[in-house]
Amino acid sequence: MTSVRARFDRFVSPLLGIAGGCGCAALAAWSPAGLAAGGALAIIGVLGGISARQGQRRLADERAQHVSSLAAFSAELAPVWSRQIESSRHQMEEAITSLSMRFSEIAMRLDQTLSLSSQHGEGGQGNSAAAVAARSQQELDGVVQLLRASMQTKADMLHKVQGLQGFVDELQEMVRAIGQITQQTNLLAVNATIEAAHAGNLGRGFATVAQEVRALSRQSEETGARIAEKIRLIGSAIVSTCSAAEESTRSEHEAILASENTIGQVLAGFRQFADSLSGAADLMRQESHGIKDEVGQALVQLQFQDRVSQIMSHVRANIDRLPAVIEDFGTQCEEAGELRPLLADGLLRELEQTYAMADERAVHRQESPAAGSSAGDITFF
Amino acid sequence: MAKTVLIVDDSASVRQVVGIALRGAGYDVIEGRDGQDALNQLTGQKVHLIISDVNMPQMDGITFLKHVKQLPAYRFTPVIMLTTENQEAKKREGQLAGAKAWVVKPFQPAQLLSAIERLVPP
Repeated sequence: MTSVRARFDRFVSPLLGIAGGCGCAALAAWSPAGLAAGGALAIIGVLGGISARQGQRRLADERAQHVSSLAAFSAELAPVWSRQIESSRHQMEEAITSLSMRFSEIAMRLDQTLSLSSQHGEGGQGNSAAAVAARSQQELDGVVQLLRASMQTKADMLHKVQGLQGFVDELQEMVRAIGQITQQTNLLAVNATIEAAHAGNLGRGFATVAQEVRALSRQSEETGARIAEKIRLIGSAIVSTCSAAEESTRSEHEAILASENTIGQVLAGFRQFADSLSGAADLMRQESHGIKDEVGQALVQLQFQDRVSQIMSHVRANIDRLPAVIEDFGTQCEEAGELRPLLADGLLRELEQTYAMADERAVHRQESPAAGSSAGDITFF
Repeated sequence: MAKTVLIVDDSASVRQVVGIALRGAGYDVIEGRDGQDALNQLTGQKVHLIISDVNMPQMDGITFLKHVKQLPAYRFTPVIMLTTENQEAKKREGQLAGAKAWVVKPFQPAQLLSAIERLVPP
């Protein structure tokens, strides 16, 4: 319809000129002046028609140039936008993937640490600090008991050695008795010698026996003196041995008491350290659990990348469509022979059809996204 | 013996998150980057459950699901669709294709594990 009208507009000026010229000629009854006026009008009409056609051609050229510039504009701009969006999407995906891998690594290490900590901290294999302290106490008590037993054995031995002193006393008494017997024997020998002298030649043999008895008595006295000396030395040795043993026993007793005291202090210190270590380990376990939960939540939050990536993909695909839409628009204008409004409806409809999320639809319609309205929903079929 | 779950998603970070949750719960995990990649991995080994995204390049989740249902070895393997799609029409499409559950992202690992345990009792 528009095309028919344009063609009509193109020919109306020359037709009117010719018609005017013919009219003038007719009115002047084909007089020279009338013919001249008619011819002039016809020429003016034809020239006007040519001028109108040129104007319309110029307008069409300008329209075509405009549409062409629009197409060039979109063809140059859209791919750049698209590439930038895709590049951003890739960068974000790579960064988030790397980040989530790091978080996974942290979560895995925390799991291992917690597992080891539980095995040791809860004494799964009897290796808790409290168990080690109790076992150490038991073993050290055993050592102290051994020392005490050894000291008791030594005391028993000392008692027996002290008992020897009684035998020494008896021996000394016996030596004294031997001394008296020797004196009596000597005295008898002296008397026998005197009596032998009174007997004269008859007592000469008896005097010899008496002298031998005196000699034996002196030997007995000397032997008794040596025995007495040895017994005195033995008695003295026993006394000094007992004295040294008693001193040693006192020292050992004091050493054992000091050892027990030191062991008690060391174990108390160790127990205190173990308790504080155990408290710190408990705190670390709690903190590790907390950190692990936080890491888990961070990983959940990183799912935003998937959503953002999808939105960017949808927008990019829509931008990619822009040059084709502009080209269609140009074709339509050319066919219509006039500029038409460039409407976004079609492209927007296409974009809307690609949406997967309620948020995308809400943003598209300039509505407030319903926060987390369907996130995590589970439907079983 | 640990059960095996196939995760199909074009987003590496989502595969990571699902993988961590499942491995932490004692499952073995294999992964596919899209429907076609996942189909290539279904070569006869036992898979107890499939978790698939819907919108993916090469082959989308619904098409993948339809292919899985054609494979004799995996015809009865339960499939959970894990997607940002929340439109009822899409859910119905998934249901008709044979999905057993539809989980909308973002998800909490505990929710997903509970859905898995419902479909594949321990």
